Amino acid sequence: MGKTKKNAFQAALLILGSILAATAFNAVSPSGLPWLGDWSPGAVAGLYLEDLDEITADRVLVLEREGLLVFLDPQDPMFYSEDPPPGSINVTPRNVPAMIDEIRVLAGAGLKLVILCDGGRCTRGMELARVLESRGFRDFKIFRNGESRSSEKTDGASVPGKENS
Amino acid sequence: MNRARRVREKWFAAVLLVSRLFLGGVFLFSGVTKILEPGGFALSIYHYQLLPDLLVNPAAIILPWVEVVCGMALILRWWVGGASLVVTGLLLVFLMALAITLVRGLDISCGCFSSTGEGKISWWYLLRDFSLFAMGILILLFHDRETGGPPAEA
Repeated sequence: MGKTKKNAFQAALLILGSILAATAFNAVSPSGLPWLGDWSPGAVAGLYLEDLDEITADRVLVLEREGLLVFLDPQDPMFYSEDPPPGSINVTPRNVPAMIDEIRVLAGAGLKLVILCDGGRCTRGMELARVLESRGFRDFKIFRNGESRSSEKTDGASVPGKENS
Repeated sequence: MNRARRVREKWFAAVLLVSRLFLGGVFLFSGVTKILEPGGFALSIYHYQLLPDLLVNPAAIILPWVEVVCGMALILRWWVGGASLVVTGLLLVFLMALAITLVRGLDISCGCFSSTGEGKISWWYLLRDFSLFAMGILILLFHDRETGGPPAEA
């Protein structure tokens, strides 16, 4: 057998062995995945949120009235500067290292850290949450704008600090 | 064979040895981190927006094991030709995926070694993968010279 053919044959066997091992492991692993996944936008947002604490709009209203929370807005600074939500600071996933001391001070002052979502998928918000987790922060909440799971009236807090239009 | 050539061959064999162990280690580590967190890795694949949704989970299940098996094969020097062929092919695919993502301007994490705590894709990642790809090519083409012996006669 030529060298190329031999390499290709070995490669095929290695891939086949890998597929068998992957299938077996995936079947017995508690964190195994279904072979067909649901990748609709709602399901993706759910994946991000599965182990993160959400906060309801009602709870946000209460904490906001008492001045006990600070919003972490993960928007791009350019968009944030156009219309910053009251009571918020702009923290993108990328600038966490530069903001980490300020965030620590806020958390140390007893303020609840609430990450604002940035649309249906909440991609940047979730990413900010992951970065904060990797930096040792655990005590924060995720607030999905106007999409709170609260069954009660939530419109008043759909945008922090703003009147319901 | 003169002495200078023998020394050169020994150096080349050492380079091949280090490259094989390094590349094997990188793939083994990369595969294990993904196997431990398949959901996160599936999400990383999804974010690249290159595969149809139907193939995201199968890729997330199988790809880490291909990396582990081929990484082990490289480290243990077992079927090095086949393993380096797979690894080089994978690196080529990864390179293309990174390049497409950079050109499209997607602001996503690499997902190369884990689904969390990694930086955004940048040209640096492309350079890193290209270096690994070059190692893979080197091993694929010359792995039978790792013993330090003379090159095979054509």
